[in-house]
Amino acid sequence: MDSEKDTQKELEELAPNLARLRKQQPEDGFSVHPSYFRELEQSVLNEVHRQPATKRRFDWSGILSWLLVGPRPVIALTTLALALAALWYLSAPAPESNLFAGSSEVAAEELRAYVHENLDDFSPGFILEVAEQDMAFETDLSLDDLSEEEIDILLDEYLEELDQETLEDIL
Amino acid sequence: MSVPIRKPSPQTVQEPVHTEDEQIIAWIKDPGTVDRGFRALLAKYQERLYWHVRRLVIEHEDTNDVVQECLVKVYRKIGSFRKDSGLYTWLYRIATNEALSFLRKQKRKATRSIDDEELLLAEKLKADAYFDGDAAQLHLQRAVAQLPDKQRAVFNLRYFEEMSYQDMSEVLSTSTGALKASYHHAVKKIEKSMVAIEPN
Repeated sequence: MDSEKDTQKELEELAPNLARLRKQQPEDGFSVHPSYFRELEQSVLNEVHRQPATKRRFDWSGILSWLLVGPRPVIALTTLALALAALWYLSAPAPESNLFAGSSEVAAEELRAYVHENLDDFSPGFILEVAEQDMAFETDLSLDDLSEEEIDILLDEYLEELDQETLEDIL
Repeated sequence: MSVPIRKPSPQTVQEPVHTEDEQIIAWIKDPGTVDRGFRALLAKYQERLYWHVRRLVIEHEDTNDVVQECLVKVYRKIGSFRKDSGLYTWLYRIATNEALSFLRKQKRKATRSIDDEELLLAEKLKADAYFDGDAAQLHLQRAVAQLPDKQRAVFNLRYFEEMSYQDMSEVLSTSTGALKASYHHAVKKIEKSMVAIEPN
């Protein structure tokens, strides 16, 4: 942070009237009610305790142990077979259909989750380009300068920011 | 009726004793003390972030929504915070992004022209129970409102918060040279507007 002297001197050189106003009235005129910040803190703490701090990864080890050593292995294996059959059926491409043809009816969260889960199908460079166009800032980032982990973190952050319209554009 | 709280000026503010950023980060990174760390972060930064967002978003209710969203995001992302950037600039970066993103979405929804938006803003300020600035402050806010959003952020960070160009560069991902040019340009525009109102 620069000193008050630095910023005031800079302002006096650039804009004497504005500098005078700042000296006389450094406040911005905005205010809040007296207990607001206590309420804000409480409200934020309630919200973060309501949500898990980090996204939970799907626990495959729990499923596997249930399948292998659970009390009802036959039911478990049947369930698995049915799940695989359903997966195969759902993943078969439907003729003359576009998976996201009706994506305007799909919630942004679902789109985000889809892109997130299928990140490998999208070029990171493309997602970053779209995100930069959509977001407030341009960055000078080059993917060549980033590690895979950093690219993943960046993509996660960008996907969180994108709105439904942009997600649909990506798809 | 209770008296509203006004933001103290940087020149007169008596900073309360706050926890060092390094300590806050250490607490947050430790699962056993994450709550203590986040409370310390809120105690130190929530007001500053609020005023920063408020100057961009203007209305208290909108600001409240943006700041809550921002602080929840901070809690979720704090694990990915890297020490090579300052906690303070990292928080301002998230808050600025949230505020600018909110304004962008608001503009997409709006059917009004830019001129109408500026008039509306002036009316909002006059009607806002939590804007108690005088005529000069109202005029300043109206002049600031005519700047493009990112330039407003640059102006506010320098004029009201006395942020260095180096820190602003981290917050806004823009070179210090470009920020200096942007601030100087903004100041000249506002000065011109003030001279037009008060020639003497």
